[in-house]
Amino acid sequence: MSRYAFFLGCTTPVRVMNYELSTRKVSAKLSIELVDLPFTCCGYPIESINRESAMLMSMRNFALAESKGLDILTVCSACAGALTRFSNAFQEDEASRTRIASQLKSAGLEYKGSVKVRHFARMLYEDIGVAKLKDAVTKDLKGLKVLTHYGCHYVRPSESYRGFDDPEVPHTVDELVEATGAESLDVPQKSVCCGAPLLPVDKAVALSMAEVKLQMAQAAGADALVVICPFCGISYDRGQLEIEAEFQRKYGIPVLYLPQLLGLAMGFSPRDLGFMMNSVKVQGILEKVSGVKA
Amino acid sequence: MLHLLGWSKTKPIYGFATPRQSNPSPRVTNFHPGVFNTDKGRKDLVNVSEINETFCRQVLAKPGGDRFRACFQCGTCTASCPVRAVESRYNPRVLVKMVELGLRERVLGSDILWLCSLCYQCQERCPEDVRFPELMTVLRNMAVEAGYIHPSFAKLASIVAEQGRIYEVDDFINMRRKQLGLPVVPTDRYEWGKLSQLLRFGK
Repeated sequence: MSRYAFFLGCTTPVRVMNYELSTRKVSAKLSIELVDLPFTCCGYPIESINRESAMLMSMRNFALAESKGLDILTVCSACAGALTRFSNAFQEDEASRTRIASQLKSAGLEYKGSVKVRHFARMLYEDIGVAKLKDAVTKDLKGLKVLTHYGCHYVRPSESYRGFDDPEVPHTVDELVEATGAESLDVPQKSVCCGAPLLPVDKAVALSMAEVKLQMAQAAGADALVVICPFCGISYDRGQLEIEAEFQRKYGIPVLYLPQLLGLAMGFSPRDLGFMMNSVKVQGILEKVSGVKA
Repeated sequence: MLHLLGWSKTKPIYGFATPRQSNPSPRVTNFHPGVFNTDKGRKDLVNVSEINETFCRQVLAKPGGDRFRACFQCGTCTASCPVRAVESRYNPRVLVKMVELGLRERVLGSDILWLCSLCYQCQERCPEDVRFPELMTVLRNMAVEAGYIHPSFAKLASIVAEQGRIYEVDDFINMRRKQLGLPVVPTDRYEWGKLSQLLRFGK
């Protein structure tokens, strides 16, 4: 059994509980223990305001995880990105390490640098693996066509991720999706940005950016979008309703978090996986799934 | 060229952009054709009195700001930009040029500065390793220091400084979580109080 410090981030536990619920269910099924700790913001949103303070906030989380002897597991691509970048800076830049360490010390904290951080999906891919995931599938989702969405910071900047996946044509989440028997659609420009970071800055721009991927999904005939980041989820799920109202167009593409899809294939009920909290109606996809019951 | 950045539209969405000065120097006639000239009628063109020569050096001195001089204006960043794809006022290539020209107030006071989604697509593709998102972070940090902060970021900063998170976790949220069988979000802040005293934002 593997144990991780479960870094939920700010958004998931408050606004995207279906993602959290399904992640916990799938983790339990795969014997992954998620330990809840009093983490605070990863630093990503603060980086634009004051990078040094953002890094200090970030490293507090590492100090906390280290005190429990655990590596960090995130469910948010932005958290994974910020934590990884700050961790790399701490390891590699001696000047900033010394500075941050002394600031942590004055707040009664210490960080030696032992904690690794990974996204939940990356851990599934690297530690559990596609083959073992297939063994956990009790209900083949054959016939379901989905389009994956990675969330920029899951693979970029590639320099920070040291060769994990591909920044232009990522494939790891597609492989995880296909372990359920569902078909993962291939489209050009797969790695576009969901626009969520701009929701508080310029909503029209953010929604227009989100619509790009919805158009791709519609053109490719996808039954659903599969996401691994709460911001992408908000942008495409709740955002989709706003896009439809604002731009007078109809999409109706359900947006599932990866563990929701995996959970369906593992035989969990839609209720256990928080499907009642999805904004775009999911009835269509649930009927399709129950129709192909193994 | 700079009109591409939308400056000529005089559309300060958030009202904190610096007003443009309008006294073009008659001495410089051919310093940078197409950008500088003495045509008083062209308000979208750069006025040499706006050039702040120390600005470039300040940007270069910051970690992440030291790569922009390698830019040869190929435009790969702009062609790759998902924001640019839907919003023509935004153009990373032009922004790099503006930094290079030392147009401090135009850059730091612009609402355009807050339109980068930090997706890192341009950084992956840049042939000169300019690291535009890192430059963007440097510029935003400088803008905040200079007193220009986007209102949404200002609000976010004050919540994070106080709560340690971008959303407050109140009783209602924890009640909803309990109903769903989720653990309550830990309220023990683990030295957040002491640490937050060291943070340089949201005060």
